[in-house]
Formats: sequence, structure tokens, C-alpha cells
Amino acid sequence: MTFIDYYKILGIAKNATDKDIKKAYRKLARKYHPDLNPNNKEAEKKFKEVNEANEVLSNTENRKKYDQYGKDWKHAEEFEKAKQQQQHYQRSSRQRGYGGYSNEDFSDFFESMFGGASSRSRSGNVKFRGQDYNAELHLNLKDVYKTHKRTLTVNGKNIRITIPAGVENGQVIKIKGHGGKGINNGPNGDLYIKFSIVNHTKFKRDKNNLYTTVDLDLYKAILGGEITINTFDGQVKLKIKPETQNGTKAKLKGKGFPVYKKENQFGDLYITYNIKTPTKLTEKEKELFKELDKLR
Amino acid sequence: METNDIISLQKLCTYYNIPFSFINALNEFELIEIVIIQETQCIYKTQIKDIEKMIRFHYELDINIEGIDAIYNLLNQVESLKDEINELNNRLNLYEDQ
Repeated sequence: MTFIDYYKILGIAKNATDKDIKKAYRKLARKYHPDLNPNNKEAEKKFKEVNEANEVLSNTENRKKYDQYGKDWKHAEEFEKAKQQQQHYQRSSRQRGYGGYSNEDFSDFFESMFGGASSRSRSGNVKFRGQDYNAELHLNLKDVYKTHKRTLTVNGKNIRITIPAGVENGQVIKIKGHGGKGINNGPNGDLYIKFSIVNHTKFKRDKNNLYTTVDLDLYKAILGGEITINTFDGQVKLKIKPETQNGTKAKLKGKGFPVYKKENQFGDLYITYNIKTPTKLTEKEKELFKELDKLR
Repeated sequence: METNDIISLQKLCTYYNIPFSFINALNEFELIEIVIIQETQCIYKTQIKDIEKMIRFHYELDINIEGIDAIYNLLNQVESLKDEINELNNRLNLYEDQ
């Protein structure tokens, strides 16, 4: 636990007036407020610091105590008496901080000196939703081909969620009521899970469609025939037209990725043929190719 | 009056300790939609999260309704851009070697 310079955090001098504090706080709060910086952990951290600094400096009693003992916070006994006097006030006012800002968001330093968040709310009885939580879930592409259930541990609590097939990389789903606890009996916040999907397959995905390249030998490309290819969920036989050109694309309808939250609906699989010309030709093969060449 | 999807303005204002005029102003700026059901002014519960955010903007950050309007438009643009970036990133993977 280290000393925190609240004046430095708000960028004000030690002799700043209440008006200066309010002004500095408002300016920084507007800059770092989580509502204005969604999913920005750095801004959230800064906002908590700013909020804590304001909690102390905007309260005459707290500021006085901080100015007097701040740097010597280890000598708790010296202000124990003052703390006891404050206990009644804290018990009745530890309701909520700024915009769903709870006691858990204060530093150890603050807790040590002031015991917890004092009320800065417009009214101690205002009910507010709990904080929303954000989590990231890493999955393989294969994991999201089928709808499945998974147990996650968020803030020490196990939550069993259903991951619908077809969820996209970067997609966010909301789990209602699994965020922070509501303040003053307000509803709980929500849990937002962002999916980070890693693709280790040979298929490339664009929304519900899959793309892959299939090697085709020269003779089959010229004469046509049948090949067996791998799709995402098994093998299928495919007819090759005679005189197929390199880079030709074929579409396998319904062999792509599942459509999110639409049961039994799938995208398409697009195959690009990559014609492999033979190498290490024998003398006989070379002769035959030369003959073919003469025919053209 | 309550149903599962709506909440009366009276209850909302009491719950959040805000004047009715604030909600009315948000409605005038088309930031929220007030519906009248059985002669009672209500909002859809899906708007509550946004309203809470606007309460914080107004009462805790001293941002006026015009400011909230501008911020909301910008936040929506940020969200759209984020979605677009995500979509483009996913598409970019098509052209990158694994």
C-alpha cells in the first residue's frame, strides 16, 4: 500500500479551493467516465483514481484528515479517534459512489484512511443498476460449429452459459443480471462476453460462408472426374467438369458455417481449385506433352 | 401500471429520484420514446440502461441535454465503427495466411 497524492491526480495545488477541486474533478470525470470510454480499462482505472481523489478532497473533514495524516497513513492510531467519530456517518452513508461506483473500487490507501466510500450521490436512496462486467472467452472455430454449454467462472461465481452455434469472432453477448450487484436494491448489472475465436482449420470464414482451396491434378482438371473433399463436418464427393481452369470456384450450398441462432441454417462452402501441374516428368511423359503441344 | 416490457414514468422518476421534466426533455430530443398505454405515460424497459447513462451524464457530469444528444450520436457512431472494424478484421483473415 503506497501513499496516493490526490492533489496530483486532480492536477491541482495543495491550496486549491473547493471550486478548483470541483472544476478539476468534473473535467477529468468527463474525460475518463466509463460511459464515455466503453471497454477502456485504462480510462476506468483513471476514473477510479479521480473519483477517489474527489471523495477525499471535496469533503472538508476528509481533506483535513488527508492533509494532516496522508503521508503518515501507517500511524493509524493517531487518527483512530477521528475515525470512530466518523463511523456513524459512514454507516449511514456508504450507499453508492459515482454512477454505480462501489466501495470495492477504492484503493487500500483510501480504505485505510477513510474506511470506505462516502456518499456523493444526489440521494442516498437512489437505486442504481450494478456495474456491467466484461469478459473475453477464447474458443476455437470448431467449438462454435455446434451449440454447446460451458461453465465460466466470473468474479468467483460459476455461470453456465449456452454458446449458440455460429457466434462470430469479436461478437459480444449479454448475460443478463450476472454483472455487479445493484446499489440500494437496484437490479444487478449485466455480464458482457466477447468471443475471441481462433481458427486452426484450413477453412477461412466470412460470416456464415467458408472458403477453402482444393488441389486438383492436371489430368482430372483436363479430363474431368470425381474427387472427395473435406467439408467442415465430413467428406463429400464432388464432380469435376472437364477442362476446369485453375482458380475456378465451386459452391457447395449449405456446407458452410451455421447461421447464428437459426437452427439448421448454414452458409455455403466455396472451393477454389488449385491445379497442380506434374513435376519430375519422365522422358515418355515429356514426349507425350510435346506431341500434345504440336496438336495445339 | 406495469407489464413485463414497460414501466410508467411516474415509477421510473420515483425510482431514480429524477424530475419528470428530465425524462420529458430526453423525449423531446428523441433520445428516448415515451409511449402512452391506458392513458399512462410509459417507456420500454429496454431503454432503462440508456436512461441511467443519461442520468449520470446530466446529474453527475453536468452535461446538458444538447450535450447528451451529441454524445449519444457519437457513441453510436463509435459502436458502428467498432462493429465495422470487427467485420473487416474477420474478413481480412480471408486474405492472410494462417
